[in-house]
Amino acid sequence: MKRFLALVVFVVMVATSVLAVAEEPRMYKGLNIEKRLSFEMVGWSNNDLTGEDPVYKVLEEKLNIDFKYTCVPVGEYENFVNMRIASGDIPMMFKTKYPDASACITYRQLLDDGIITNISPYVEEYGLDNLKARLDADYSQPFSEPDGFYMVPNFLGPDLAGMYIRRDWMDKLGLEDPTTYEEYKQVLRAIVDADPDGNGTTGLTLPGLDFLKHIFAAFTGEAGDWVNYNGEWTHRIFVPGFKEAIIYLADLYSEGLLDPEFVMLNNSTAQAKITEGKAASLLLNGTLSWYTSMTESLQVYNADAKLGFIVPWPAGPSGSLKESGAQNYGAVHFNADYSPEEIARGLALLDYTLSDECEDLFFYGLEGIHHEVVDGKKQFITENRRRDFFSSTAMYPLWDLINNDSQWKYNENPDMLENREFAYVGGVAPDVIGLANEKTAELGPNLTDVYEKWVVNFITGNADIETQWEEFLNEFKASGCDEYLVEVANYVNNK
Amino acid sequence: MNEIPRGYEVKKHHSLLSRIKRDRMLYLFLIPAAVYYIIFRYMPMYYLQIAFRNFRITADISRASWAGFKYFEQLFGVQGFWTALRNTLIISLYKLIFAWPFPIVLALLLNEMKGKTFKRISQTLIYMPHFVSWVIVGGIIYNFTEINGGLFNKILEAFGQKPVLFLGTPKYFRSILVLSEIWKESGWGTIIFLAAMTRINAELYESAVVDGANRFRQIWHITLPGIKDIIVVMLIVRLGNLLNVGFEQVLVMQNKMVLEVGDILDTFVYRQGLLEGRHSFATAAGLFQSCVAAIMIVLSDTVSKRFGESGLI
Repeated sequence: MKRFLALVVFVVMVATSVLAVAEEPRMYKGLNIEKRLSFEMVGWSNNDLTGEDPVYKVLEEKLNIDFKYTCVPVGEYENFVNMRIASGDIPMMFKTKYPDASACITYRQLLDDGIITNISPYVEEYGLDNLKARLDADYSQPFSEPDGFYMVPNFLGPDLAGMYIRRDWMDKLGLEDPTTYEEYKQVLRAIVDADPDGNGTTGLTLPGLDFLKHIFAAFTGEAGDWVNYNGEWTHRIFVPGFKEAIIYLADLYSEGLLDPEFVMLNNSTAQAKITEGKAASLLLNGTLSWYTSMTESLQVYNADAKLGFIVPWPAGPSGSLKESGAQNYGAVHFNADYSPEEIARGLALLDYTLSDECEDLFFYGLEGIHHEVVDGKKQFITENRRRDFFSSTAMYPLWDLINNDSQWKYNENPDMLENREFAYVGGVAPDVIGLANEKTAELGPNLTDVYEKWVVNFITGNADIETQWEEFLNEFKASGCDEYLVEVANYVNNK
Repeated sequence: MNEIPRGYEVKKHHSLLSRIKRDRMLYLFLIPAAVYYIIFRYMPMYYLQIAFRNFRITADISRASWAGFKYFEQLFGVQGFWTALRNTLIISLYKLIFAWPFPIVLALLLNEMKGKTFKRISQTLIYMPHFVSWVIVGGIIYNFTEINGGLFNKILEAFGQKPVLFLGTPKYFRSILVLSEIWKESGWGTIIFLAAMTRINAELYESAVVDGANRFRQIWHITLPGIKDIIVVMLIVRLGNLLNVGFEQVLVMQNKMVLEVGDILDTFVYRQGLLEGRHSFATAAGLFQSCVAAIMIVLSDTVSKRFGESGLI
């Protein structure tokens, strides 16, 4: 009898556990993903992803979704997403170029009109801990609203602007890395005079005016256009040191050490200057993809050529500083018209992209397709990786949904790592991020036009710094500077 | 009932319906063009009200509050607008004077070619730049004018001259715009004039030869009068586009060093309106341009009729 009872109990237990296993719902953390869902996300990329892509398939199976990612070329993205919003055909997940000025205005309208949803409760309810860590981080706080987050910001990490230098020329001429901007000028002078490749090289080149902000930071100790200087809000042109920075740049220009074409260059033409041996130094992003592509191009031009960074950056009157920039660019929003179940699944997808497992997937791809393991090490199958990773030298396209910074854990290049480390040590963060409203949109472009006109004219010698500086400041003030400062103060106080 | 005198015919009045019925095949051909214009030209006019409303892309247009002429006041109140308007008019006039007649001259030259093979090859070659985008043309011009290694500066250096920053020098910028426009679009512009020349009766040329007219006289007295109506129509169309001087072209060649002479209305609106998400402001600027275009078309049409031409309207 005892045996019989024991047998019955055993059978019941086995049956119960089998049934329990069979009925265990499919979960992603605290979220039931038993039901297969379909939704669309709109973002920017220069290629389209389809369901045929093997990495994409893995994501779909992992989250039990049919996921359509509509990729739009980055230059057309804003128009595209605005059209979708204006026509009411809003996808469940979509990116904006927040904190670009126009994207900030769009975001504010989306928020005020209840079109996007607060994602914070979902993150808490379903235990999406990767997303929670992202939203709790200090760098995400400028993007929150009083009741939570209406976006998942894309984390860029620090501003990776690099002061590139032709390292082989430095070595050839026996030059040391400059520690101050005066020394930097002497280094440029030595290289331009020696003209090592006989190309009539210029000294420093850069694409337009934007990267000058890093030099301004070393002269003023401040970052961003609008700064809190000694407890008062002002524009950086009024901060001591800004004029000296302009004088320094004008000197470089007049002595032929600053590329006379820098104002008209874009990223690729500026890169070409250094990869074709026509410039000694370049201010540009020091990201993995740019550094790699420039190094490859330079090797084609001259196999012995070598590119490097000047780290730490030269010191100005305020020290060895550069602008660290906004650490986020681009954000994913969720359409409030979709069901909580769909929104939660979309968030689960983003949460998964932040996991170590998915970062590995986005970097190495799939074994047997994108890499093979030889002696315990992953070796890329270049052809397939280029096919599915869009020839990217960095990572899989979906990696930049919200996690641009994750590539660094795979990077072993000491130059690049040192440059990135300096961004944390010598980076000055802007005081204002994400300010844009109707008033700033009206005033901002005029102020920018006045600022750029005078800065260009001063540097290129078309305006006299000593006699016309006051005229510049007065014109800037008369173009709505004080009204803009009111907006800055209100925005910061409300934050 | 009065009788109709012999030799006179009754002019029948056809109703619209009967005319459509009679020429139904012709009207059928008209449908695609009419549909195009209704969908892409007339229906969007509903949205012109954006210029007078505080428009938000997230809400229906009818829900946006009225703004009156606020965005026009903002537009006209910015110094940059007047600079851009001045530049637009100057560049447009330069193009009208120097670039617009070029296709006519080119068409006359092509028309005078005797060797058919050479003519066809020439036509193909001069049409080709039209299919190159302004982005590519901008890149070519940059490479040609580059200060270190550009072709033009190499030539200057060969003659012992200092290199010149062509694209960054205000006095050269507008000329570069006009010259690049001539290079890219003149060949394509010849098509309509060459087509018009085919309508001219060949016997006129034969008679002129008999009368001893040389080639120049034939062009002056036969070819040009033969295509005069097309020239007038094209001129009216061009004047209607006085404020449209080529957004893409200027955008790719423009830079901060030449903004004072090279900022046009389109690039101004792009920078101050669209990049800042100011849709009402941008629409107000677009409406202003359209109004000027409409006025210019009516004016030039009236003037051409005064001079005995058929006009466009």
